[in-house]
Amino acid sequence: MAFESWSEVWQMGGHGVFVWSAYSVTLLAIAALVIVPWRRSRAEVKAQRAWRARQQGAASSHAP
Amino acid sequence: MWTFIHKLGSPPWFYRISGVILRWLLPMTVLALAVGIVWGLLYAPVDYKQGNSYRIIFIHVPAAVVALAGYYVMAFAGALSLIWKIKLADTAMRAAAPVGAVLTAIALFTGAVWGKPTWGTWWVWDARITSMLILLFLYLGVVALWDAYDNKAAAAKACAVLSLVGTVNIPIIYKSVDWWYTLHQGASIKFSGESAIHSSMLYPLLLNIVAFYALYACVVLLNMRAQVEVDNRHARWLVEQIGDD
Repeated sequence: MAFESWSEVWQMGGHGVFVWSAYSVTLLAIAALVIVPWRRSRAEVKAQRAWRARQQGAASSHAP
Repeated sequence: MWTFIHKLGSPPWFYRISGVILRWLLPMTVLALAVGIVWGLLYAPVDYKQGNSYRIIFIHVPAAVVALAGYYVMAFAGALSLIWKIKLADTAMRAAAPVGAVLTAIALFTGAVWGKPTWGTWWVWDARITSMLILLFLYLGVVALWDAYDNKAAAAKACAVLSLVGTVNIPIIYKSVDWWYTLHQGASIKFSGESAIHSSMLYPLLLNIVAFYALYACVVLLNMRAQVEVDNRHARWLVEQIGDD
């Protein structure tokens, strides 16, 4: 490791505020990029499965 | 070749293949990003001139590189959409725009935060930074233009034209540090000859560039799949692929 202790990691030789804000904003943005379409897709798939289950239920109730 | 392009435009084929790709690529991307970021933050040596602020390079450069490459991806999808009217190309173009916008915003933000301790200013209107800001507006323009139309065929056409016209900006961004006297430095990584960066810093940087490319692919595929699911709602092939559970 390039640092002696964790407090040195946190301070980054006085540049901690710049380095950590850049990294945290970037990681948040990356997480949002993945999570937003993933959740949208999951909701859509769930709705379509529920619709399918209703269709099958309706079809079987009309069966003689 | 033609059957390949035809297949590429087929939503059932795309949906199945992209699902397989994502199952592998997404975990590998997360792993590569984790390793690259920890390596850059903790293990790469301190820069003797800039101190630790230089560690921002490990996210700034990958974000900027992929934001530029992503514009070509979007414009290429726009060209396919214009020439062959492939609906999946419209979907790809629409999926790529917000991802590119976020990556450009990351590059601009991390650049500003890096500029403060290094140059003494958050922002300068130099050629590199201004042309990157224009890139952000081009990406946002495609997003906004798409949403402005009710007729999606007309939206795809307008977005494709804007994407293609905007490609003139990309070589300007690349060359801006050579053509103008800018505060922004020139390229440190060179394909031929010696790079102006030591291997102990170069390797984590290259790993992060690869990881950001993989991330881009994952996110564009995720966006496209979400759109394909909506466009093909209740289609028989989709019902079969998503199953009942």
